[in-house]
This record gives sequence, C-alpha cells and structure tokens, in this order.
Amino acid sequence: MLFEQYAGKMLAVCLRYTKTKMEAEDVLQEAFLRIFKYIHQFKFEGSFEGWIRRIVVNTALKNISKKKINFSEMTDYNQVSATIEPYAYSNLGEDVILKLISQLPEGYRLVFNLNVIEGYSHEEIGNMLNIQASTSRSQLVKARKILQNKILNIQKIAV
Amino acid sequence: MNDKLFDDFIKEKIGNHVATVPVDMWNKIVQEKGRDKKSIYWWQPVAAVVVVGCMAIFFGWFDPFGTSEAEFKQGSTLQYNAIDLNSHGVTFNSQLSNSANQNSKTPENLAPQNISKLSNQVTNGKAVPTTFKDNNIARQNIKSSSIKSNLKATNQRLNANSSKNNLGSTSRPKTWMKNNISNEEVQSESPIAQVAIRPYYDRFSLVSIKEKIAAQNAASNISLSNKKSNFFSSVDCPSDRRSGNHGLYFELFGSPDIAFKQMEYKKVGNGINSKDSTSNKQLSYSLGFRLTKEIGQNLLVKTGLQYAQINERFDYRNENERTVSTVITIRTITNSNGTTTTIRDTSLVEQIGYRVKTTYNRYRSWDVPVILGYELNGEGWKANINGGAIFNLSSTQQGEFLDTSYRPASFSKSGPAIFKKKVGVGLYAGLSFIKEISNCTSFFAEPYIRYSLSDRTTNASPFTQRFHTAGILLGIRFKLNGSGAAK
Repeated sequence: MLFEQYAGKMLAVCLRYTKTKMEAEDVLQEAFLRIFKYIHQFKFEGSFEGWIRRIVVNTALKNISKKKINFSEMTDYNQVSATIEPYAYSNLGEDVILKLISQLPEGYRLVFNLNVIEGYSHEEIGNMLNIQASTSRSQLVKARKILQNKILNIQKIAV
Repeated sequence: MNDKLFDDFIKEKIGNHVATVPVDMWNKIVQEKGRDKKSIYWWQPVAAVVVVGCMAIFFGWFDPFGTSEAEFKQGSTLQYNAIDLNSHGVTFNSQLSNSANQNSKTPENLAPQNISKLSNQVTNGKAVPTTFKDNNIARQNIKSSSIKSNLKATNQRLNANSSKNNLGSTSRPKTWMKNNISNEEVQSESPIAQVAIRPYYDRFSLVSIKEKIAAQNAASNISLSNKKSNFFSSVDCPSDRRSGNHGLYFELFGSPDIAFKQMEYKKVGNGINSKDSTSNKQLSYSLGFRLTKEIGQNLLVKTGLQYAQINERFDYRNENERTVSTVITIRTITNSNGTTTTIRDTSLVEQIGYRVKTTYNRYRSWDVPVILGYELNGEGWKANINGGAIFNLSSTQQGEFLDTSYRPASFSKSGPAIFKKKVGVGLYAGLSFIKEISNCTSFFAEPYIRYSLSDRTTNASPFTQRFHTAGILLGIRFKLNGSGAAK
C-alpha cells in the first residue's frame, strides 16, 4: 500500500523540517491528503517516490512559511572545520546527525536540507524560500561549518 | 574531508532514514479524506432521475405519450370500475330498480340498454337526494384517444337508447350541470369501454348508495391494485398477432469469460513486447441479472445490471537479485597439548540470482446492458439473437504492470490514475438458446462477444489498453407475468 510503503521515509523528511514530532505528523498527514488528491497528475516521468517527496517537502515549506524565518548570520566556524578529520564521522549514527541538524538555526537547517539532502540548487531554493541564491549559498556554508564544529565537539568528548 | 564528501556522507546517512509512523496516522488520513468525498457530484442526481425514468417507462408505470395527470387518474380507475361493476352490478341495479337487467352481472355483458335503464331509474327514482339539473354526462369525460377508438369500434354494434338521457330534477339540493350521457359512453362491451360508465357510476354512487357500494372501502386499495395490475399488465389490448400479454422475464446469469487484451505503448515502441510477456490471461467471469420485455412480435428488449471481472497474472523476473546472508562457521582445533579451542567465524555470503514476482491483476466493472433481441420459436425451446450496447457505470483495477523503465509499478483504486473510472460503452452480440424446464422457468445459455469501444487507460498512461471479452452466459429465466410457460 502506498501509505505503508512511503510513510516512514516521508515522516523522516518531515522531521528534518519541523521542530517537533507532532508538527511533523501534521505535515505528513496534510502531505498524504495532497498526494491522494493529485495522484492523477503524476505523469510517470520520474520516480514515484521523488514525486511524493517533492509534495512532502513543499507541504513542509508551506507549513514553515506561516512562521517568519530568520536567515541570520552567525559566527564564522572556518578555523574549526579545517581541523576535522574523516575518521571523526565514521562513528556517527543517524539519530545523532538528525539531532545535530535539528539544532541548526531554522534558516540554515532549511537550506542545508534542501540542498544537501533533497538536492535542490541554490536558485531553486531561492525561489522556494523567496530569498536570493547567494543568501542560500552563504547559509549553506555556515550551516555546514556549524555541523562540522558540532561533530568535532562530539568527537572530542568521546576521546 | 572536503565539503562535497561531507555532504555526501550526510546524505548517505540520513537520506533514506525511516521514522516510526504512529499507528493511528492512517485512520486520521482516511477520516480527512472521507470529508472531501462526501460532496455530491452534480451528475449523480441527474443519473438517478434518468435511471428511474427509464425504469418507469420500461415497466409501463406511466405512459410517456399519453395524457395528462387527470386522464391518468381516470385511466387508473378503469379496472377498478370494471371490477366494481362486476362485483356490485347486481346489487347496484336491484336497488335502483326492480327492472334492472340481469345482464349487468359482468362488465362485458353490461349492455347499453341497461345503462339507459339505470339512467331512467335514477331519473325517476326518489332515492337520489341530490339535485341533477341537466345532468348529462358529457362526452368530454372520455379523453383517452384509445378509449375513443374502442368506443367508435363498438359503436356500430351497439345502439344505445340513452343518448339523451337527462338525469334532471329540480327538487334536489345539489346540482351538476350538463352531465349528459352520450352514445359512446354507454356503448361498450369491453372492459376498456366501461370507463365511460365511470362518471355516471361515481355520481350515482354518491347520490344513492353511498353506504351500499363498498367502493370507498376498496378505495384505499385502488392505487395498489392498479399499480399491480399495470405492472403485470392485466389490462392489455390483445394485438392481432399475439393472443396474450407481452411477456416480462427476469434473468439471472453467470458466465465464464475470456478477455482479449488490445494494447499499445505510446512512447516506447519495444516496450510492448516486454509488457505483453509479463501479463498472462486468466479465466474471467461475469454475474448479473436482466429484465426482458417483449415489445412486439418476436422482439425483446433487455436491461439490467452486471458485474464483470477480468483476471490477469503479472509475472516479473527481477535479474541480479542480491541476497546477503550471515554465515557463522564453528571450528574446533585441538593442539598438540590436547587443548581444544572452538573458533567461531562470522562471514557474509552474497548470493546473486533472480526473483520472480507474481501478482494477480483484477479489472472490475459494473455495467448496464441495453440489448435488443429477436426471438425464434421452436418446439419446447426458443432462441434469441441479441445485440446492443453495454454502458459502464464504474470501473476499478488493481495489480501491477511494467512501466516505461521496465520495472513493476502497482496500480489500485487509489493508485496512479492510469485507468479510467468509467470505461465507456461497449458493443454486445450474443445468441441465446432457451430450454423450458417448467411453466415459468427456463434455462438459457448465451454465447456472447463484448467489444470495447474505448480504452480503459487515461491520457496520462504511457500505454493504451482495452479488453474485449467472449464468454457464455448460463442462467435461469423466470416469467414474471402471465400464466403461460416461460419462453
């Protein structure tokens, strides 16, 4: 069944875009209603999962757009991220990474999710979030640096 | 690690992460979905009206070419009057007049002379409490053209004396104007012609024998009895060709079917062969009922409701299927000192092969057949040559098919809209052989072909597909009206 097959994955998508699980469930419910409503518009020109994922992401963004998103500038982590080593990542679990991403400021988190996970270009993200592509780029760089810094901190604690 | 590697690592780690979905999530979605579906489409009530109208015409509940409501009412009381006169005629006459004619016992024998006598008795009698002033029952009481024609036909044989029977009196309190009984109204032998008597009879009953004539008691049953009689056409005009009623039959049937698929890929030319090789024909079936009515000499019209299911098996062989198994190997080593050591090795074994996936596809449809038949009669058997159209009411599908990338893709009622919800119209041709097994029951077998005129698939579908079916209907036919044997 469609729902059983994709609900788990799509809830994970929703969780990346929302602050709480309850909010994510609301987004998922609304997204599936839209999927069932517009399923006849699927043209078989790409993967069905991709089509569903796009609807879920759009629904999540629509939900977020009700709130005012602050694309703020934060401290530069450039020096810190340069010291991180590849082995530091190897022991990271999915839950830890998700938690780290969820701790990102909302603007950073959105751009990071859309670009790194979903694969949207900065131009597309700019259109979706109504921001400049350059803003998206800078937000991504900073989000990435924050994440790397956090991972390094975890590694230090573990050592 | 550079940024790209970092991004790839993150994507790989959480890109396909699966979260646990709450158990009641689906129920919430279904509830929300149900709210949307409650809205009624505009065509539903229209379709209902059309269906009811067709059924009404088919069963003769009303005459679409006939008269107004008032005339219908008069027509509907026709049989009642005839029966009532039949059952009460003697009493009716004897109370009015000792000289009433004994021939009035049956409506067929109710001669115009009797009516005229009755009229005279009424006119001269004292029992009539109400006033009749120039009480001529007018010719206009007969409005139905069929009745008029019958009356004209009988007019030559019957000569009424009551053409100017004025039922007049100046001493009565209630007045009816110009109720003249005309020639046609009182000249009849057939039950149909008795309708002419109705105005006279009704008024007379009101006037003189309200409590005697139990018409009022039976009045509550009029509509029921009339409907029943209309439904089974108790009052029927024998034609010059057939001696009895036009038959009405109820048919129950089931059929094993074979479906022939006609399909075409829109874009990928060579995909058709691959798709065809994955689908295998299976035995299909139809079930339903039909109502059959004779509409003329050897002509029949049939309609009803039927359910058809086309079955198909989808086989898909997935090459390069990889299965990884964990193998634990336990070895025991004994060294020169006699010490035994157990060693457990855990290893992963990857098997590469293929997997065959089998899915049973179902194409279901609800249809209304509208069929015209020609009947051939034999000794103890009959044959019908049938042809017509089958209108699809609803169509659902579930199963799997090969998509343009040669991967299995599932479809269902709620799935991708590659199939229509209404298939459209199909043509039907069949030849049925009917064998009588009792007075009102027959067995029939009907080999048939159903040809679809439109595709089952929507425009969004990457291919077009339609099914033509052939089968043999096997069923029982019940005769609903008349006492004769089922034909």
